[in-house]
Amino acid sequence: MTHPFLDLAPLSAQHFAAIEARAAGMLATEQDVVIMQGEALLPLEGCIRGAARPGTTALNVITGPYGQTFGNWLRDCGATVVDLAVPFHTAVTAEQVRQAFAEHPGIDFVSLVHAEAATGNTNPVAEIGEVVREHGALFMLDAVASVGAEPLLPDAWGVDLCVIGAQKAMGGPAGVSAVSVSERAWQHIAANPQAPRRSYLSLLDWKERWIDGGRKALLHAPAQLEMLALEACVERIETEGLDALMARHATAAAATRALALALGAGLEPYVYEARDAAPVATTLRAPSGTDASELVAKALAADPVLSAWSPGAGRWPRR
Amino acid sequence: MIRVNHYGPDATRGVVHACLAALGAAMGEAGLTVDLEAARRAVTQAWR
Repeated sequence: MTHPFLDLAPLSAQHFAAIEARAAGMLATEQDVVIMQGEALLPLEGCIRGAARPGTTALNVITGPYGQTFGNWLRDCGATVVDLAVPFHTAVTAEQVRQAFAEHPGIDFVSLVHAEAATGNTNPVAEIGEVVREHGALFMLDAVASVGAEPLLPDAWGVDLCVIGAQKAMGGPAGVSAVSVSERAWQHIAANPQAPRRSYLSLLDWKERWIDGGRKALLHAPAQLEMLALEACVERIETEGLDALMARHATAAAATRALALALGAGLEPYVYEARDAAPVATTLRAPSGTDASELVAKALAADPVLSAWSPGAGRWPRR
Repeated sequence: MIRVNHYGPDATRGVVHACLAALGAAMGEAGLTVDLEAARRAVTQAWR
């Protein structure tokens, strides 16, 4: 019995490199871009374990559940972590980041999530990037929920490590992801004796054996099904146009916020300020006296794009 | 809290309208007074 997902021909290094180059177009970057063979948590952990070590002072911005995960990895690497947490219905400001640098002048690494699909907020990365650049710190950005949904310009914003995944606005597979790496990030990681080497978490392995080798030989058998899905997804975006894709997300978000307010009965956006609201997903406050889970359970039968969560219970939806 | 996942192929007017219908019906069923027509107009307006 045949099946389109089975009995695939091996993915050549040349084909892999071609998909990588097209996916890099999503980032509008001159930096090296590496496709990693796993969900975006793989390059995110690889970035942190590559960059952090004892002696590192990391500013970890927490605007949603992922910031907490990053802080744990940073501490595990022996870094001193300065957590900058803001209410999840808001965005962090460049001024708050500037203040953190003033209070902790030793900060040399910054981790930030661009858009939070779980909580529906987005952060002003361009403004924050200016502050980070002024202080010379290495800047890591989780852009999984923003890529394709809103502008993402790692070079212009001074992002050294920018991680994307295809499973949100790109409409692609979750099983592969990509990271752009600046030259100074490569130098920083190479100088870290603690950075993973000969490891699935290693960015350096991809640098030394894939990029520096002219992208001729892959490190291991690639996840061919996911790579082909990524290729198809990028092709679809190229056909639609990145600007059109982002405009579609911005309009969907604006329409959903307007819907909530017009529907009445106390339903309102969780993120009060529209400028802080992520185009990728909209979170809503259930009317007082109602149970969001019950409302969603009733609505879900008709509309699977809804989900409910309860911050009080500590249960956060993952992306 | 309620989350509306309007991303990728779901970032469309049709999906937002479907969400409106589902959420409005659920709220009505819960005894809340909702203005479906105003919400429908708001969605249409946002999509112009």
